[in-house]
Amino acid sequence: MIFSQKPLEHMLVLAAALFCVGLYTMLTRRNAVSILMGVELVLNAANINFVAFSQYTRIGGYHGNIFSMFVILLAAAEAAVALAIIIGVYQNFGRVDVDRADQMKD
Amino acid sequence: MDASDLWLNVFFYLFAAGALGGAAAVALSRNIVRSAFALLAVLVSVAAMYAIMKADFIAAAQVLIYVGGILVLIIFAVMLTHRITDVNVSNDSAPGLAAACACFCLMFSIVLILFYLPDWRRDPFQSEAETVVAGDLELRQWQADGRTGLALGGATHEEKAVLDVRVMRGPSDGAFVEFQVGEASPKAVPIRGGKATYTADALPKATSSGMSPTVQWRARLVGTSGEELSPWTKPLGFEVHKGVTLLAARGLSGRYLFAFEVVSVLLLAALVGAAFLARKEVKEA
Repeated sequence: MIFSQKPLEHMLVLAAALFCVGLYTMLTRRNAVSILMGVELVLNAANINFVAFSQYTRIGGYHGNIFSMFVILLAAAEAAVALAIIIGVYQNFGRVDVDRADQMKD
Repeated sequence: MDASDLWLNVFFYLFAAGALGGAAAVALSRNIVRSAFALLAVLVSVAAMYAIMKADFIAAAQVLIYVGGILVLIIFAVMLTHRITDVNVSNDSAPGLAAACACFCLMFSIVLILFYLPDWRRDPFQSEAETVVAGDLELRQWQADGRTGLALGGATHEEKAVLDVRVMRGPSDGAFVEFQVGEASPKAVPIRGGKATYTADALPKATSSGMSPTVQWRARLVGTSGEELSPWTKPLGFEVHKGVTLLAARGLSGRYLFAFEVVSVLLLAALVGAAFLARKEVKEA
């Protein structure tokens, strides 16, 4: 069974694998920037699913494309805010390890 | 399998390997700069996946926003928060046996559901058929499993009948513009006494000139001198794997306009919030 025979299933399996690797990254990393990379992997996996269902099923129409565009835009906003927070944490603690940053105020 | 299919497969497996290898490097690399550049490989491979799925606009947006914007931000943050000298020890990860087990179980169950519970694939339009009878002629329009076609039958004395197929595409939801299929239609088909079956491939060229994945078509039979033998069949849709950029643009300027504006306000708010969070603390004297 090759890709062009069952394209939807192949894309879904790829997205599931990306999702699991991203989840593993989020679970095991201590560095906040690395955790953010894991979040990006998970968002990309979800996006692949949106586009795959949009392109390979009849009821999908174009709506999955628009949803994935919104996901990309929200990921941009999320990355900007997360990196601002990370820089703030770095200024306060000198490190960006998430298990060290356990105080709301200094 | 023709040449374009072959290349599609080759590129899919190539970029799938790129995406998974890059993701593994993101998850496992000891050097955070290596992780960031492996993320670059993943994002470019995912953009290629969108291109393979013929979602051209999303592929371009992925390259512009993810690779050009988010990744640069991430690398920027890596450079800002670490002294370059201790970059080798900065990316340690917790011992992740339990996490690995959890992720593996999740992957296993997703694949299990995908291949052994095919209910998720059920499509309300999956199987439809309509038969139009005109005298002793029979025109059956069917749709099943992503394919669609026509079946002609019935015992008739007519030498020939003309099959008039029209393909419609929707500029927006619900409204359909009708246009006549190229030279090939209306086309005369011999139906004397026998049966003829046409699938979407044999239908006229408009099957591939449509823009949208939701092209619909209907058919009727007319006599050789143009008189109507049967009424129109009900419109059935079929898939055309073409770019959907035009449709998505129409959706964004119509149905999704409000959401689009809300997103732009959100981006502005995120910009202001990020500037506020990252500013230098000014101590009141």
